[in-house]
Formats: sequence, C-alpha cells, structure tokens
Amino acid sequence: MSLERRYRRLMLAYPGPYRTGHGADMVTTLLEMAEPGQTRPSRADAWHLVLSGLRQRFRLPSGRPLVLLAAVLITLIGGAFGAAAGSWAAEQTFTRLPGDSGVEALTRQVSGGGSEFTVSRSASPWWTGMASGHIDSPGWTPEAAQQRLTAAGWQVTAIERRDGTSFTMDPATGTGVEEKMRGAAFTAARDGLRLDVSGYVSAERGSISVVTWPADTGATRPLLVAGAVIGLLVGWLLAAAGAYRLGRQSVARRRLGVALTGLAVVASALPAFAFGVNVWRVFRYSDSMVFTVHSALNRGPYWSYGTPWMLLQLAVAAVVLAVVAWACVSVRPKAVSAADTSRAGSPAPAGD
Amino acid sequence: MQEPTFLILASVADQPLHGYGIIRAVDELSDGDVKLRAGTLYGALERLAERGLIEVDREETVEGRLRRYYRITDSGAGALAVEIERLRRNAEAAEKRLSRRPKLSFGGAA
Repeated sequence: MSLERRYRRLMLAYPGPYRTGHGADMVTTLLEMAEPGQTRPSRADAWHLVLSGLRQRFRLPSGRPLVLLAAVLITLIGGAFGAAAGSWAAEQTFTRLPGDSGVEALTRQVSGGGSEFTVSRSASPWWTGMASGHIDSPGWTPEAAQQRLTAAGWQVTAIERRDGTSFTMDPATGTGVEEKMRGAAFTAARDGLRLDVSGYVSAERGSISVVTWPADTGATRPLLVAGAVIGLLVGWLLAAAGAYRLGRQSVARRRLGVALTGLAVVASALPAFAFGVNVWRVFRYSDSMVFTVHSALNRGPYWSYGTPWMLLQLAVAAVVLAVVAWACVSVRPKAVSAADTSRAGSPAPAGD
Repeated sequence: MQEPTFLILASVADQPLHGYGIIRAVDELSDGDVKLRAGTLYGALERLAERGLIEVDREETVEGRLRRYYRITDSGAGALAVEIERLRRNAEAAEKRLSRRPKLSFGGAA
C-alpha cells in the first residue's frame, strides 16, 4: 500500500464532510512533510492524525453560543432516550408474565379454591407490566397458602399481618356495618417471577389478590447507565456533525434545518424529561415495584394534564422530525460548493 | 491566542501559503521550536477560518495533487496586530522586572 493510501485510510477518523472539504489538501501536506522514500506514516504521526480526526468529530463550530446550547440540549435528550433504550433492553431479560389461564392457576394455587376469579393487567408509565389475579375465598389462611406454594417450589417470605376492619353498607337499613378482617401479606418467588400475595378474610368473605411481577434480573441499572452514556455520546456527535452540515447549506435550507431541529427538540423535551424522572425512580426505589424508564411511553397519562398516549406521540414525532432534519442538512450542497470553487483562483477537483 | 495559532496567523501575514508552506514558515518563525503536525495545523486553520481571521486564497493542482493556499483577512491582520502588541507589552514588562532584580548573589544560589 502506498503512503498516500495509508494516509487516506487514517483520515477516515475525520468526519465525512470534513474529508470532502479538506481531505485532498491535507493528504498533499502530509505527503510533502514525509521523508524521501518513506512508505508508511510513523506511529506517532498516525496516532496524532487519528486523534485529531476524532477530536474534529466532537468539535462544534467556534463562536456560536446557540449551537452550543442546542448541542447541550440534544446531548441530554440523547442520554434520556438512551437510558430508555437500555431499560427496554433490560426488560427483555425479564421472565415473560404467564397468560390469563396461567395467572388463574397461580391465583387458585394461592387461594386453594374460591370463586369469582378476575384478572387484570396493567402497564404503568413507571414500572414494568404486571398481572393481577383476584378471587373470593372465605376460609383462606396465609399459612396454608404458603404450604401449597413451597410444595410447588416457591420461595416465600415471612407473613406480615395486616388486620383491619371493613365497612359495608347494610342494604336493608342503609347503615354502615363494621366488620373485623384478618389480613396477611407475603411474597413468593420462583423461576424469575414474583407473587405479591395479600388476603383479607372476614366471616363471610375472603378477598385474595395475587399480583404477578417479573423479578428484577439486575440488568436494569447497568443497561440503563450504558444506554444513557451511549445516548449522551451519540447526541453530542449528532449535534456536532449536524452543526457542520448545516453550515454548508444554502440560507433557505439552513433555516429549514434549524426549524426542524428546533421542533424535534421541543417535541422530545417532555418524553426526555419523563425518562429522566423515571431514571431517578429506578435508582431511588429498590423494593416492591420493578421500575423501568421506557415505561413512560406506556398508556398513561404520565402527568395528570396529559392525554393517554401523549408521550409516545411526542417521542415518535421527535424521532421523525430529527430524521427529516438530518436528511435536510445532509443533502449535498451544490450551490454553496460552486460558489466556493468560483471564489478560489483555479478550480480543482475537490476531495475524495 | 495559543502559540501555534499565533505563529500560523503570522506565517500568512505577508503572503498566502499552502499547508506545507505554513508548517515550514512556523518552524522558521519559532527558530525550530514549534514543529506542527498536520492534524494540529488543519484544526487551527479551521478555527481561524470559522472566526474569519483567514480565508482560502486559491487552489492549485500540482502533479495531480490539490494544494490550497490560505491568506490572512483584514480582521485576521487586526487580531494579529493586537496579539503582537500584547506579547510585546508582556515581554517588556517582564524584562523591566527582571532588570530590577538585585544582583547580590554569587553563583547560582538565589
């Protein structure tokens, strides 16, 4: 391989548009600097060239405070979306929840009989999905439930007493009737699933509920952090590359690119903020629920003033706007390069 | 202004130069102290061009290779003059202080 080819290969560390603009001139200079008869770049020169190229990828156009502000915002948004992607990846390692018949079987195993089985599933904006089975079983005791579960291989925690009273309206007299209830709760775990069992039993009724969760595999936090770091990096690199691409466009296209980028940032602000709050929840709470970040896109509303799918709609809109903005600034600017070469004394074929 | 940037700007003060020409001129200006690498040179050229202190003068093709010449702009010449003045002031002030140093010591001990 010739020295020129080796230099051209090292120049791949530089961003594409930079190579198009400066690559040929830079290679000329590198070759003029080379010793006579030199066939390969020195190790130090090669390293320096690659590091300079990587640094160029991280650079923003100098003296542009608004570009810097936009880059910081895009970086933060990238980090938030990256954390959500990491959290989604972590959720793929969770054990899949059983179907409705499976939930019913588990609930009946806990209740040891009973009637009026109901099941509901919920996907909250804060934590991973769960299935909740409910059954009425008057003679229920937590000790018997634990025996059935341990016989089936479940690990159970100590029983927590939650005795209380219930008030029901007597349909005949219309007066409230106070009734003593025996309450108990415990959790059981097996094969990557966790059951939150609770039961309230009075003289005639026994309200047993079994909430089935996937157990936290421990993947959430590391994958979330990895996703956030990658997202921050990608956000900054995209902003830096976009800023340089934008600068090469015609005025009209530049305005369009700025407007699209602005809209993308505005659209992604709320989802990114919700992701950020969910990251805080993952690290703040470690018991009970299995908190996730990407769940902010589930049917909500995340905030009381939002619509059910607002965050998902905003996130999709932001991604579409960002892709269109990128396409807009990445178009090869014909008019601008023609002006450049006409200004230069003798036009020459530019770059590689 | 960093030293390589200052020297690059100074090297194109009187005539347009191409990349290798700038590297040689900087070597000469600094009496061999500053040997620019291509990555440093082009990084500095980009920053100087973004700030409007230099611009492309012309492009030539020599033996099938593209050579781009850079020239200083009026605002670049102004910035260079300001920097020269600042360096001169600092050097003179430093020199004045050094000349007032009591010459009492014998040998190297201060």
